[in-house]
Amino acid sequence: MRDVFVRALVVVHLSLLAFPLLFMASFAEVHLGEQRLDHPDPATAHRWQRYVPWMRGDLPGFIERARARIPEGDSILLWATDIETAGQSARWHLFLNEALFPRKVFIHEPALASGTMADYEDWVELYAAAHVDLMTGHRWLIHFPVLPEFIDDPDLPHGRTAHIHDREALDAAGREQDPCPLLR
Amino acid sequence: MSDLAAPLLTWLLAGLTGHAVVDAAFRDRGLTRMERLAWSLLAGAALVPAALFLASAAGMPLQPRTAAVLLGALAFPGAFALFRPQAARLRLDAPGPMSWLESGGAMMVFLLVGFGIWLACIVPMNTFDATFHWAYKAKILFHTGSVTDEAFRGVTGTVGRIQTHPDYPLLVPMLEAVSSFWTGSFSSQAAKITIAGFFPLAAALTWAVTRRELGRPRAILTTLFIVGTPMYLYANVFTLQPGGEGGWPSWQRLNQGGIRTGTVLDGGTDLPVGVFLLGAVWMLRSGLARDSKALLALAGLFSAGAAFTKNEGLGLILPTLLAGALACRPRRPADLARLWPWTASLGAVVVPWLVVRSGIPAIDEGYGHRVLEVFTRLERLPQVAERFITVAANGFQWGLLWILLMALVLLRPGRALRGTALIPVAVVGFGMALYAATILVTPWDLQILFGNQIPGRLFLHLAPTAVLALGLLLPGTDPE
Repeated sequence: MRDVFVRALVVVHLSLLAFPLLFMASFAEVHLGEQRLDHPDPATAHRWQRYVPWMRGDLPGFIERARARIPEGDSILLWATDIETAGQSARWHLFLNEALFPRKVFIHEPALASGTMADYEDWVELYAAAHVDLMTGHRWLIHFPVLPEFIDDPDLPHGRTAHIHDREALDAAGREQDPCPLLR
Repeated sequence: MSDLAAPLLTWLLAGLTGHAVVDAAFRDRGLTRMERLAWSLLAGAALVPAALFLASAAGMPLQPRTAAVLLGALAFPGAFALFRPQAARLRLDAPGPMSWLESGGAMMVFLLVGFGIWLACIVPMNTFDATFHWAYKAKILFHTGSVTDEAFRGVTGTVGRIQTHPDYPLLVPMLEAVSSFWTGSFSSQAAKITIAGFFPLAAALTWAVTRRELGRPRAILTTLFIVGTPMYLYANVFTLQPGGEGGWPSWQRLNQGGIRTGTVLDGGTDLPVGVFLLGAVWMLRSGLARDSKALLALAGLFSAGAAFTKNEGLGLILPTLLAGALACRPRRPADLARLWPWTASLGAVVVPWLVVRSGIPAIDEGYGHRVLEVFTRLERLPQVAERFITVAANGFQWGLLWILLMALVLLRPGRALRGTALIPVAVVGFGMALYAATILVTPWDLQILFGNQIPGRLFLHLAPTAVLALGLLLPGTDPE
């Protein structure tokens, strides 16, 4: 009797394999024949890109611009302003840090900034209240606003999106050349 | 080299490296081809990262050329052993041609494994943990070649570097970095496919360990249980929650392929921990049964593999030790000395890692110092127990795996608690208790934690061992 009961459970367990098989069939139906991010068809490649949740809005384009401009191995200070959201997808410093490596990315209060979601809320509070020292010897500054639309809108005006400052160039040309008023 | 060829080369070198050790440990006992393959790959998956880690910690920068020389040297004895006349190569008696049921089961196994690999190959790395906890560390290792680089140690002070969990262990990042050495530039896709290799390895290992003891039909069934565990392929494609996309089950998500929810085969560490634990449990069981120091040392290597993969793997040393101690049936403390080869090889890998880790700032919640808080946080117990039961009973994610195991333990207590299934059952039981205790004392808000696929992701560590226990407890699976 016990064995019959166990065998019945085994049969039910095996019948629940229907769920992974359904998933498999559906996934294959939708995606069979597709490649991934480097798919020759831009529309398909873009569709895959959307499956990376943080690669949205202005971020992919900004990363491309930053990689083109900042040499590998240089150090960058990230400077967050306008922190209007403490949501998980607002942790742009993590995404920028990962995407720009081997450039060395620095930030204020790194332990909290690198921590869990709960730590991130603490970091936002601390950072918003702190006097951020931009003169820490890094050649490059990346100023990024933490705004909800930064994540969603790929065509933000200059003052509402991230931008790069080259301290050496600014020192040579004069700070007033930089369109970011906060740096003056 | 392509994103697919590079992981294959990494696994080939790992298999050859592990083969020398496995061949030596089993020299007088004989192995089937599948046993030799599965154990060699698993041993190599622990040895290669451990060796590269030790080399880097000793000051040798890891670059493609140095890694190639070192891995070539490590692989050479194993390759040489392949050509040694192997008198002890074992061929099991085939119980006749396969029945249609066996053939169907075997085809399902191949189908599910093939699908898992394809899934890993075509979807970009798209989960937070896989990208920022693990692949980012691999990127650091690839570019700097050092396990003590400032990128690991500089997450401190008023202004410093950024890294999530800088003190997490480096087995998976090391394997990912090795694959990128062959591609020439860092490739998250090659990284992901490398770690997805643990999925077919889980199938091969389960087949290898159960075929000899349980016979072919039960071995196919047990292997099917492993690769058919839905959580390996998806987490939240189907849902019973009201208001979910597309109603019940969630067809809309299904038609998107479910990949927005992430998969275990995304380059994360939960699957490797589970496979290493399975290897450790089986080898501990075999080592104690045969009183073999070599097999116990191999069990220690696999426990070390789990510990060097994820902090939970370090925690799982305790359940493994307790299960091993129970199986020793100690009448006096000296009886526990039988476990020294397991302890020695475990320590040889884990201690150097702990030494290096002590120089890396810990920025997250630690659990070691919270052990005694368990007794002051018991008010959380009903909430935690309810969550464990709900997750374990979620048929969309686990089938009836946990319910079936519980039923078999209750129906066959003699075999589960004293017989051949003692070690796997005890490891799963103690492991569950450990995870429940950890959640009791966590500083996290439980609702946030539960929303983060906990404890389902923790169950993944124990699932392969649970399937093994299930195979050993099924009716009609008395050892041949």
